[in-house]
Amino acid sequence: MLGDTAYKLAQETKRTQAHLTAYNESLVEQLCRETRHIFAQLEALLQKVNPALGRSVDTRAVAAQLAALHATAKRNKRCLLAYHHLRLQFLKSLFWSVGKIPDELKPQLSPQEQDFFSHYAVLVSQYKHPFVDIDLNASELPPRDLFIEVRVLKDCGEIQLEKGSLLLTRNSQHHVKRSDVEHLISQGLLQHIG
Amino acid sequence: MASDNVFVSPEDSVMTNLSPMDAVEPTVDELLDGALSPYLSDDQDGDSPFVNEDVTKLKHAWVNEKQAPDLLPYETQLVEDLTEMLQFIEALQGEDAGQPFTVMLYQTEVERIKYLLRSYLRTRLQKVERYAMFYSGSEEHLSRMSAGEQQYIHQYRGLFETHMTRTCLDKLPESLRALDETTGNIPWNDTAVVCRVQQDVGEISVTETETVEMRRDNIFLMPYQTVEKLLQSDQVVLL
Repeated sequence: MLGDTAYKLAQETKRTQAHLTAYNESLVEQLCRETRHIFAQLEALLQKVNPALGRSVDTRAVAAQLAALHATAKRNKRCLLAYHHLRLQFLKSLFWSVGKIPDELKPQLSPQEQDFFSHYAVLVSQYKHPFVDIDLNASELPPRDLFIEVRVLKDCGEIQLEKGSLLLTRNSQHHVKRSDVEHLISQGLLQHIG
Repeated sequence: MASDNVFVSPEDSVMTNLSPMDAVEPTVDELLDGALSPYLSDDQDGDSPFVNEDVTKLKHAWVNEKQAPDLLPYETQLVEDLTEMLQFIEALQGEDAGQPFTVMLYQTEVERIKYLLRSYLRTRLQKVERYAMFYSGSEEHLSRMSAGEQQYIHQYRGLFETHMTRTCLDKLPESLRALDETTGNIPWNDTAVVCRVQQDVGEISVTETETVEMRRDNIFLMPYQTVEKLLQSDQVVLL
């Protein structure tokens, strides 16, 4: 039925709000094809009502058909844009919270989306370049304590602190300055324990 | 306002950190007096509130930006001053450690100011991205952005358009390829905001027939467009 494909894509968009599903290339392709087909139909219809051909047709019926087809084409486009836009939004929030695409999510993304992500990363790093001291990617929660207790979940080797360096081996526990290790926490290498 | 409460103002934070101590300890002012002096430039008095004023301003700018539906003018001078001050303080701490206790107070405060700054910048970036299509075509909004933000919006828009074109627009019939739908995404200036009046404003008209008198410290809930002008002249702050 007319508009069914777009409805499917809209449902998929809605699911994306909770978690990222695999990029549905075939559905996008199908919807684009359908839209092109609708336009071909539209043109054929316009030919019909062309007065130069002098054929007698019920113009009211044709007008209704034209309006319905045109509205469907517009709706298809809207659904396409919404689908892609929401996925970009998901990617952006991923960038700000984690900083990179986790390996398990990579297969879910289209090549264009991976491109977008890397370009976006460049864009943001360009923007924050003048603010040397301020880590824009740091947590959105206001800092409560200067020092925090962390447990190491994965070996990270030696890291540089403000003063000296620290060897982070798995399962060890450290009392460190929050700003020194914040990026490691967001990458899931360290766990903040009280 | 929840986000307002989360950040403890400089004065408060000193109090909370000191609260376990007894009254026999030196007072907050005495403690801060000595500690502040190395960080103040020569033309300032020892007990000058110069540091706090900028932070308070930033706090207001940050809450305003968080609450306002539209982009507000960028606080160029404020951000510049504060980043400079932060660098200055950090450089000083490297050489002059001072008492561990006061050093910790300062570092905590520095972290808090940094948080304010980055949250302020992030909030602006989010608005810029969200309304990229609309803002990049509006001279007025472009003039409210910093140079970095102007470059950002320009490139972001390009990136967004390229992505949309490559993924779907190119496969659509030609007359549907323009990106016009997203231009409909504009800030909604009717949103209700809560504001506190900073200084007596007098009567202002709310609707065609109604006016209210705004006195200092009054708190109002009204549409953003009504207070937009007052906000830009610092007569009210959002909460």
